[in-house]
Amino acid sequence: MSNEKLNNKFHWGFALILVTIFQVLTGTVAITGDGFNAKLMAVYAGYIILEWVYFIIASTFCGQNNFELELIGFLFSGIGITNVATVYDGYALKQAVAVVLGLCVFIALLVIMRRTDIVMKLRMPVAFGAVGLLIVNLALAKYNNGALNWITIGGISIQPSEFVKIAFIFVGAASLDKLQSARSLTKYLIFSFGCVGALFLMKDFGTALIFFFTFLIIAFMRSGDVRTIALVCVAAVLGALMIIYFKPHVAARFQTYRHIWDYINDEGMQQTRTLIYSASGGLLGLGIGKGLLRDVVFASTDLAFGMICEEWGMLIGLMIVITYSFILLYAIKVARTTRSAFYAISACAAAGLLLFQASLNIFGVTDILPFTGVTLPFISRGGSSIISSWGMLALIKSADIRTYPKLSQTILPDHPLYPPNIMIGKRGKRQAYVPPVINKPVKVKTSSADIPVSRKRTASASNRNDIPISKKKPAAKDIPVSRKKAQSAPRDVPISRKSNDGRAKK
Amino acid sequence: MRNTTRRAFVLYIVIIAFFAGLGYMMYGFFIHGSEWTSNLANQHIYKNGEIASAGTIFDRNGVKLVYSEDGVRVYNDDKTVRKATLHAVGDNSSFIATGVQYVYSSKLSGYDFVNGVYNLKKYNRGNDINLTLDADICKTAYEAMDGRKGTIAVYNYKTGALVCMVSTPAYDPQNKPDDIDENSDEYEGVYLNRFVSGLYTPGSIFKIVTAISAIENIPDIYSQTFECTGEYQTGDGKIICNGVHGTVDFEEALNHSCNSAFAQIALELGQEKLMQTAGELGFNTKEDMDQITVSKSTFDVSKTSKVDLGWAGIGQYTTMVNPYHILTIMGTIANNGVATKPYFVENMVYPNGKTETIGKTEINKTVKITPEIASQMKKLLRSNVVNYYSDSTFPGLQMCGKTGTAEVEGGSHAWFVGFSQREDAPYAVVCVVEKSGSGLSVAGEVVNEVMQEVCN
Repeated sequence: MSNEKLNNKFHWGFALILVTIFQVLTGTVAITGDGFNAKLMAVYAGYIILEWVYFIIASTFCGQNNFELELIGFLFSGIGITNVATVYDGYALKQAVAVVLGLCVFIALLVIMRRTDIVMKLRMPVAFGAVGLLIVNLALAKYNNGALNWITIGGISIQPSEFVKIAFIFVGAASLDKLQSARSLTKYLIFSFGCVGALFLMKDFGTALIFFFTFLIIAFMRSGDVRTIALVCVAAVLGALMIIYFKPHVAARFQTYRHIWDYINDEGMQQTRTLIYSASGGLLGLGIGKGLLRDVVFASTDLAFGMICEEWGMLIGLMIVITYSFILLYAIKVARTTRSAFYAISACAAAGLLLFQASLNIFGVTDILPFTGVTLPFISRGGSSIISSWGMLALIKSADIRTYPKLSQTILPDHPLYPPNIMIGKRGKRQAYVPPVINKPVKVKTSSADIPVSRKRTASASNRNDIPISKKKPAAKDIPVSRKKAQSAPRDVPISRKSNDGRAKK
Repeated sequence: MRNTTRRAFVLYIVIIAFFAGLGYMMYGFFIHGSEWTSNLANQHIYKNGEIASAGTIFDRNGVKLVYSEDGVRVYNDDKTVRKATLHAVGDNSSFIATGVQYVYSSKLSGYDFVNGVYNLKKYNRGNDINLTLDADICKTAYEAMDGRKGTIAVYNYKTGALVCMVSTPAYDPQNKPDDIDENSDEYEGVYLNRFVSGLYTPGSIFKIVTAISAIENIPDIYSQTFECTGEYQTGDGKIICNGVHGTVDFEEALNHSCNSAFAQIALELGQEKLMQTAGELGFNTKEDMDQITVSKSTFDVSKTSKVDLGWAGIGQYTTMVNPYHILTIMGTIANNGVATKPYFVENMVYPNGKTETIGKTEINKTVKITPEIASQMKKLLRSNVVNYYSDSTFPGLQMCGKTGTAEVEGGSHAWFVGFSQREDAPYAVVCVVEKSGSGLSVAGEVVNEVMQEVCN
């Protein structure tokens, strides 16, 4: 029901044309704003071609038809390019290159996420890699705008914590093989603590907060344990209070919060200017390139929201930020029907991270929350941020069953992600919910998502509760098979990973 | 039943919190947008802390008092007009916090919630503002002040429109003098509009308040007589009079501004009655002129000795009077008890020609005078001019009024408050000249010069 709605009623081609029109219009303003700029013209042409090539290839050759996230990604990245292009045309090329890299990461992650066996194998290396990256960051970084979160390699500055975001969710969601077991949670707790601690040492409190929030989502979705979450929150608040008590200069960083007008030309400069110029822009804006917020220090990285409000108008600014919440709604929706808890958790955590980061940015610059200098996903200038934002999209998209149309939608006991995402019973007496029986062969052509896994339970499923699940070998009639399998293989052979992988390589 | 996907629903809380934050943010922009836009840091309107791009301010005859040209504020080409209208118009750097350029900066910039300052950027001008002031009359008034500090204001007590509002000292906003901050003698309180922000010892003009209280509370006041020997003993001290007036009745006492008589009246009234009348006349009440805050006149005799009550009755105690307030009282008497609020910002004109009224005829409900008392006060104030100041001081004006010479440290403030009785010239006036001598000879002369131009 809900799948069908997602599946068939969304005309991405029409949306893509609208996005392109929007980009052509805004791009024209940016290209001609300061005399004709051939360099920018090339960037825009390349960007729009890239967009179309991606959509055409993905839809014709990879059987994709769920492009909601890519549309948002391309739309936002395009807005970001235009926004920085009017500040300095050199930024536009860098930004566009970052989008290309982001798209590569996006595709690569989608490929990896399809192979859950690889995901399981990558888990530990990624965790160690992430911590290692943060340690390298701490060792190499020099103070930059009060934080240590940048390193420069070969003339290119990168922000390792942005990439660790992807790893953080990846590891958190993938530590699910021994679902809800205390040991995996402990390991993940240690990993989380390491990441957040490193960010604190870098004085990148905004990103630390994002990690903490993401941790809460993952921990709650894994355990469903409100008490543990409350305990963690209390511990975090106590820790924060202790830091403030023993290191007052940390608190001093936030002294401007709610008092920005008293520090109008000092620490409150960025926030007051954002308010002044966003208000000056009104609902309809002053025109792309006509704003003055751009002259404020770090405007294109930190204050992108204010620049959009001033120049494009608060209406467009609001639409953009509301769209972040749509990404999360999308994630919640696909998590309902996804194949396993791994995908559900990674999608919700990634979308939650994007929304939380956007909130920290938007409400930080408007003095509703303390100003932490985190970027606005996709839109702020900065390659690392763009790439990691696209990575988040991949984590969300992989949870959408339409993304892997040829993959079996159920998970069998010999599958690394077994048991699937549904648990029955009270705490302590939990049992894995055994996937439903699919009587009809899955129709790959329309979509394998025709059968919602989590909702349909057949009569035969109820008989199985008395058998210990771990011991139980799947009976032949329980095995869901894809159409091809049904035709070629004998029915009593469980569908294996191998057969799926074999087809994926075709 | 618990499951992972079901737990995803807690994320709805995150979304709801996010929308709540957005709502709060938009509320902030809606409520504070104009205030934020008119911040000096806004380079759309200000350059280097000085107002640069904004609408034009006109006087009532369409004379441009200030306008923007190529991102620079250009003031009226007459230097005296620039000085005379300085406090009404305001300066570039927002030092004059009661000036139109500061108080109405968001209107001048053309800000509105939907368009922001788009019109300012597009037409390089914001909304225009029309004042009710007359640049020529202000110029005359400024010249009549002749370099002395003080203020003079004239308003139409039927409509409330101020035609003249001058505060001195002033400076030329086009070429701000360099020594303005060092030369504290010449430029004492130069950024203050004394008409709205000034607080002065009233001196004899306070006898108007005492007289109103007497008419209200002492039924036989007109038949009473008072002995003046040049001083009046209260038992715990004495009140010095400005002359020896012998036996005077109530009207003569006001004519001669007899301190002995009014000290006796004040004692007869007592603290409570006097306080009550002052309160009914709007003392101790905060007032504002549209968005401009007006200083509060204060009167408090609740803990006075007898002699101090006597001094308070003749305006020499701790009493402080604001010129705007006393002008409203004069207008109320002249207008038969209807207290019309003075205003000087007439309206705002959008670039498309649409106008929005800002100042309009409004009743000040804190100044309460009954028509009966107003008509009696009118007679008394007219008799002041006819019998004592002489009509030749104000030829052809049929003035009613009261002078005051308020003793302060280092001199005496010359006061004149009054109004013209002519039907065709419904104007009330207040004038105070600081530390310059006696009320009639100094303030009376300034008032005459200005009123001649206003009424003829």
